[in-house]
Amino acid sequence: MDIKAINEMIQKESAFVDTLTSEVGKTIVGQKYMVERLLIGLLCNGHILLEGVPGLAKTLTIRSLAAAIDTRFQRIQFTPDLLPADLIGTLIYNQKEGKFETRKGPIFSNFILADEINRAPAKVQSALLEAMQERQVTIGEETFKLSEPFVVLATQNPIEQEGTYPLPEAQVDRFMLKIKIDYPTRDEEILIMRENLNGMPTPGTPVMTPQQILSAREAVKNVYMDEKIERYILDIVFATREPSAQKLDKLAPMISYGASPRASINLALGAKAHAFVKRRGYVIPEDVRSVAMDVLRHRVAVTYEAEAEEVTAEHIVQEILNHVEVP
Amino acid sequence: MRSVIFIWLLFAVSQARAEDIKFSSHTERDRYKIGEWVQLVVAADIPRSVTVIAPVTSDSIGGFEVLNVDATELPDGQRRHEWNFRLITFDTGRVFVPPIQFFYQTEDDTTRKLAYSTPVALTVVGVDVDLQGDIKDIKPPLDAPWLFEDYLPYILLLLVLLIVVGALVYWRRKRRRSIEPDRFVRRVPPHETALAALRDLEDARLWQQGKTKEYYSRVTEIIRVYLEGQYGVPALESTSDEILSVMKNLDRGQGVFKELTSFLLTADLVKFAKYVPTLEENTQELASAYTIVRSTMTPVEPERRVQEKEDVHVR
Repeated sequence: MDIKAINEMIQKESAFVDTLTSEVGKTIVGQKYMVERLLIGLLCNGHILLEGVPGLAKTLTIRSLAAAIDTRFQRIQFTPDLLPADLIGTLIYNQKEGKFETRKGPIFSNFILADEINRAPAKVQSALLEAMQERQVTIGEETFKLSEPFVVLATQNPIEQEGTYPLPEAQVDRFMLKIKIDYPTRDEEILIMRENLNGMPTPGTPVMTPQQILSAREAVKNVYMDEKIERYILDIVFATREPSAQKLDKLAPMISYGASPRASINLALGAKAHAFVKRRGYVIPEDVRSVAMDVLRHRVAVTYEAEAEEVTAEHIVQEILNHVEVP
Repeated sequence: MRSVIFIWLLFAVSQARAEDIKFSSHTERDRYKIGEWVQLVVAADIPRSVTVIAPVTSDSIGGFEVLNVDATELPDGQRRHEWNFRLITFDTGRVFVPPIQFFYQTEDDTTRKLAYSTPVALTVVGVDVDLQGDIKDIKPPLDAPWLFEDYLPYILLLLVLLIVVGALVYWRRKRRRSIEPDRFVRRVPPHETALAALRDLEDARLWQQGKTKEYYSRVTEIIRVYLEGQYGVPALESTSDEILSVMKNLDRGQGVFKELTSFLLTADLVKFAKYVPTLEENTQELASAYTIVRSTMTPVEPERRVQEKEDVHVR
């Protein structure tokens, strides 16, 4: 497809972005970064891991986004006594009709907020992550496809880690993005305070349909990515595995293992979605840089040596981004 | 008097038990000064069939400190044995060297027999003090004699230190000598490198050969390298937006920012968006690059330039 045509198509398809963000913005003050990343996750058909202290309007943001897209939203609080059946559903015996009936769990929704995912034991986490991957759930002998769009937003509380079941690296890798939510600014917080004093904010009205999201996903795939950008993505991902190749020898003893090929795929997808959100029909290095931290921070494992020196995966990714030459 | 009787009684007992062997004691004289060494000799005529076990001596014998014990065997048919005790005492008056215990065994008997040496009475006198004379101060301690061995470790340590310092100085001088020529290498200003590279690019006629993408990649790389050298901005590792945001603050009213924005935007379109630029845009991109360099370069002072040339010439 001609680049001019792609650009026109993207301009047309991405017209909803401004409407959607302004609709969410009616309920949520600030958190533009979170809304943008949620949208990228939604457009890439990826799942998102959220990390942030309680009270940063994570639930309200997701609820507002779901309402603006006219999709169903479910919040599941993960607890140590949660069972897989509580999540995906179970078979219930109907005495009147003398047969088993399927009762679907809360996972049968479009937007799932898995709150404090690390509080539930491994088997529940596993059930959720399997549903995320397969996008279908089997109850008894029957398999149900999950309705699209299906996005899981899992939260991890960075504090109070005692008695939790941290997600294994293999499962964390299934999340396309891991975003860190920070406190609002002073100006934003005063607005939040005033609005809440006038009553609890309620999610807005639908401004688009789930079908539009599915159509936008197709458009994102058509965003043009030049070979130079592909090479740039690979340079970044490979630098997490072989830092010495990028003259980053000092990082070599700090990386336990680097990002997987899934990271390259998600970085390319995320960059395309970022270009789409910016209403561009082609990817520029800025798009890659913008999503690189969110794609890589949970995919780079640091060594004990790095931990001892208080070097985090974020420091390593940032160092790599600062050193890899931009095309 | 009582102690004298006791000593003589003890001697009598010892004589009674050691009938065969007599351990007689004597000193060189019977009058000594306080602190003076007393050479006590205990001698005995010991038949070949008798084995004497060396006397067990502690640090002191009676009021005497034992400084040294030495046994000698004289060449005599009777196997005369002598034990030389070097003693010292700091008591004055009439003092006695008490009998010293000796054990011995005969060939045909395994029983250990005990014998005592004869006690020796001595007179120890104090130092003569001239009570009429002046009171004198205590003498200072005597200086220890100078021994080369005492100073040898320090001399060796000093030598090692001198060698280490010398090696360091030598290494630094050698290093400086190897670095010094670089100090005089003339640092080419970034704008000269950039202008030369732009001229080379112009001569390469890339876009005229249809290598438009390569042409835009090279022209942007030249400008990025120039910005890095001129402003210290990590332009090679920055995106166009990042470069522009930094340059926005560095623009000193030369109006370069607008030129740079258009330059980078066009290049990004060609490099990443399959944009096909017009012939005018191709020539304009190079012209913009020249403008960016010429309007932001720092002119080199004439004197410095001459000096730099001289440096190069001398070299």
